Amino acid sequence: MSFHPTMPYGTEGWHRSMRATLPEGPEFTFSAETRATFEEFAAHYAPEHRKSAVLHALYLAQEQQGYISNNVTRHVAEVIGCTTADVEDVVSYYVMFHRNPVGKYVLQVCTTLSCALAGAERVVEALEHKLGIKAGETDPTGMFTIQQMECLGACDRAPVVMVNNDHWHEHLAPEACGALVDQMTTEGLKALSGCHLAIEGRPESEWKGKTTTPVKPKAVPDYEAVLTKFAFTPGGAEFDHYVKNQAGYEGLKKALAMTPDAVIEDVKKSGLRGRGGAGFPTGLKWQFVDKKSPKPKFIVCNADESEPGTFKDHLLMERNPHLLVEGCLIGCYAIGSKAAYIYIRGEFYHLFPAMQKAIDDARKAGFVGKNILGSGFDCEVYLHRGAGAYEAGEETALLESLEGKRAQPRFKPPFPAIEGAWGCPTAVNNVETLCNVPLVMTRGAEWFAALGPEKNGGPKMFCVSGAVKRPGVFEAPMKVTLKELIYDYAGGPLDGHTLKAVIPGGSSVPILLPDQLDIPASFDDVQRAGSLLGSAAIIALDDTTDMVWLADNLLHFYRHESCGKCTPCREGTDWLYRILHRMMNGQATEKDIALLGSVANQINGKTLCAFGDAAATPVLTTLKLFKPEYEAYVTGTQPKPAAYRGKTTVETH
Amino acid sequence: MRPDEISFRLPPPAAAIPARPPEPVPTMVPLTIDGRAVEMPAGSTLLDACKTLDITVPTLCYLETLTPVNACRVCVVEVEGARVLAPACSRQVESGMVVKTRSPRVDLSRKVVLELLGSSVDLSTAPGLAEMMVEYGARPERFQESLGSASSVSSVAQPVKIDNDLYVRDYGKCVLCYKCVEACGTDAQHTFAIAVAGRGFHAHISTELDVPLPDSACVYCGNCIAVCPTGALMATPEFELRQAGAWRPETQAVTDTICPYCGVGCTLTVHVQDQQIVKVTSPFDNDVTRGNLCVKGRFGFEYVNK
Ligand SMILES: Cc1cc2nc3c(=O)[nH]c(=O)nc-3n(C[C@H](O)[C@H](O)[C@H](O)COP(=O)(O)O)c2cc1C
Ligand code: SF4
Ligand code: SF4
Ligand code: SF4
Ligand code: FES
Ligand code: FES
Repeated sequence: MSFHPTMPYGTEGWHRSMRATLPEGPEFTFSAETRATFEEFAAHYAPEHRKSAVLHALYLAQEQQGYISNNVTRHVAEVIGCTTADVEDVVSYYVMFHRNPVGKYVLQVCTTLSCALAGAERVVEALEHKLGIKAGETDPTGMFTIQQMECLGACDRAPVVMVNNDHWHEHLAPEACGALVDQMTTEGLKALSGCHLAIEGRPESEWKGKTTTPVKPKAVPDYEAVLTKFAFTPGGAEFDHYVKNQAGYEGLKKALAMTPDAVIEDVKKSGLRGRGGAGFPTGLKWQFVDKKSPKPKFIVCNADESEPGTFKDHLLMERNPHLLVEGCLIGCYAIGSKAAYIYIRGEFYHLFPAMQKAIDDARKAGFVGKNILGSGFDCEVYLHRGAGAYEAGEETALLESLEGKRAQPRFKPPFPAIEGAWGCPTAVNNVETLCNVPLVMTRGAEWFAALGPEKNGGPKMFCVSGAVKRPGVFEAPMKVTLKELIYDYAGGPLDGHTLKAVIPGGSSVPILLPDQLDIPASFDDVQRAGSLLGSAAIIALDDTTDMVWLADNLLHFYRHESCGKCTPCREGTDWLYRILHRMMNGQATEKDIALLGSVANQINGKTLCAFGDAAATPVLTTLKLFKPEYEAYVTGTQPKPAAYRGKTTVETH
Repeated sequence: MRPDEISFRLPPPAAAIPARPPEPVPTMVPLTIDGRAVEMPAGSTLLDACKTLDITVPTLCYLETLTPVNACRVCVVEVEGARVLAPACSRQVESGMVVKTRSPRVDLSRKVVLELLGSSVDLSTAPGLAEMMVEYGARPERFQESLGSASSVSSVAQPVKIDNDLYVRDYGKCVLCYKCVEACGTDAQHTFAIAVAGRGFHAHISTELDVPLPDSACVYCGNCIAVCPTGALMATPEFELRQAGAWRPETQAVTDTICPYCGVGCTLTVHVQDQQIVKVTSPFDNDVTRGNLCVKGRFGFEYVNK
């Protein structure tokens, strides 16, 4: 059976726009205090780009009233100065806004691949059973709401649950759900184990012994961690510690003594490639920025981290925020920009104050603001918060979202380097990419290039999740092999199981088989093996994994996250999911396998943005490598589902 | 420090009024389309080039008066050396490009786009689409057949929205081309009465919070009707005639005239059937009005019919 409910297609009068009438809600205006907070934030954008602050206004409204009623939408439109329709199209796009009153605690359960491999589907069922409601509903006492979420970027602590957009519980076993609900009823949020402890701002006594801190990277004999060296040291994220132990802001000083072009030249020489997915050379990207344009230029840092299986940027921002701030500053200097915007995904709510503190500390020391270190270089770093949309990670969709619109991509060319944020030349860089820039400055381009295989230099963060003993983030040069990452770093498959397949770079890339893993985990080597390094999110699949189930799980994700702008992806992901769903429910025929392949092929390479290719991949790659499993579903001879995944109801609580 | 201080400062205005810049001489870009050489001014699109050569490329979400949104993907063509197909409506010409407007890949892609649209949308009143379906051999039914359901394209059917006297909205026919949103917004009307709501498969055109049109910001200019390629938005007289089976475009006299209401003097194209005005449009190639009208010109013809 497919875990996901059947969509009500085909019934008379069903339409994609159908939804329950939204509540008008009571009269709503921002309190004077909230309004002031908002205006302060809105000042981060030029007055003519006030709409950019719309997501922030909606968050504030949700904090004040608990949900976004129609009256809230109207008030926000008034505050921003646009029509209600213009705000509604934003509210209805992002998942983090509640359109109806919700319970005191909204249990937001991740059910995407890594969490589902650890039993997240059973967690939802257990919660449903305990509370006597379905996902999406609120229990009669008004205490709990269950919301099903897509990857929350904490896949190493699977299954994870986020509560009220800001609190976390990790490793929630289905059997433990009942007890957790009971405990929350009496103790409230204190019952949660936490997940990103360094900055959730809670006293140690509350979480001690409950949570697993991230696994420390295994010491590699001839490699010394540079990005995460102090990630596990108390106080390692503080400004003073950064300056003292990581040659903090020395890179910026060095850069300011050089010409911007020389900085770009150095970055080019280092061979630094984008860590966000595509592996495009960063120096080249900066060089393409249209310097002759009279318009302002921008660095936009992509901290949307939402490719299923990826959780590295979070760690960097949480444990080494100054490295990112410094990277942004150097980037701005190199491309002639005076402001960087860091776009943080909405689910990383708690990173916001932490990053803001880092920026403020840097400002106190004179590294941010006007006339930095007396060099005449002015630069500001601003934060921008997303609101739950995977597609917002695509660079042009990110810019749209930064401008306060729906995260739907733009056609390229023109590339952001020519026309980006607010029509100005912009470089969009991933968090990890920018974090590498200070290292290039302080340690030199040669050191950086020599760390890895040719054209794949520098340190790299690898996220390993799924069916391994020690999931976590590991820093290593790209010489390390996929096999070492899975077996040595992450401890290998669980006892009694063998590795069946590996997704090496996030859910959007083709699967590799166990005999293909003895290759360096570099952009080029993984590509030669027929897959992509992507965001270096390695998801291990063991012998219990049903590949049709996997495709069904991922297509639920892609259908849910498609922005809906272009035809092949909007309609195609829906059809793929529909067919897979039928297959899981034992209703599919031989013809459906062919149809599945043909629809997937028709999305691949035919869409406006690369999302289409990503969405088709799980189907194409499983069809190619595991076709017999599909055939088994059609003939009704599929193997008994394994462990957690097979049960349709939970037996123990 | 505020962003307007540090990042948005435009160069100071010149002290004197600068001399008029010389007329730009467009650089011509040579390229080959379907084996024929053509030179186009830099900045033109592949679609412009095709028009110059009289090569037809189907479009759905493109209109010369609107910003291309790149949504429908029926206009794709093959550019030699590129991994993916390029949308002709927005891809700009580049020197030495070799383009094929028909190839097995292109045809297949168009076919599937039409099938996908047809699988969820009622395309019966979209001019030209039936012919296009035949030309590309698109069979939307093949999806439904696989699901074993007899109904052809009913998965997104919904009742027609009739909430005012001037026009109806039948979103069961909407292909989400974004044209109406653009026409109501920044490309013409600047009223922003309608927008896209929802995301992915659930994206749909909606007034603010789904209120009936009379409660929305709509001023009934009808510019959205003018650009709609599917008949999802339709003026009431046409809708009622179609309901009665009495809509006969082949019998209609089409005459250009000047709007009688105000001094702007927009061109009206009046469609007359059985001595009655049944529809008013305006030519898109008019440099001043670009197909747009206001409520009076578009709908104010009842007094003639009386
Ligand atoms: C559907 C989609 C989702 C993406 N999501 C992310 C993301 O979450 N984080 C990220 O850094 N890049 C993401 N990217 C890649 C960005 O488009 C872009 O290439 C990247 O931010 C560029 O930064 P880099 O050169 O430093 O890698 C995504 C791309 C696509 C097509
Ligand atoms: S492929 Fe199309 S529908 Fe899908 S996310 Fe990209 S633009 Fe949106
Ligand atoms: S009639 Fe005019 S104002 Fe009303 S929705 Fe259409 S374009 Fe907008
Ligand atoms: S209503 Fe018409 S113009 Fe508007 S998106 Fe739908 S098909 Fe396009
Ligand atoms: S956090 Fe659940 S899959 Fe990533
Ligand atoms: S006409 Fe070009 S994408 Fe629609």
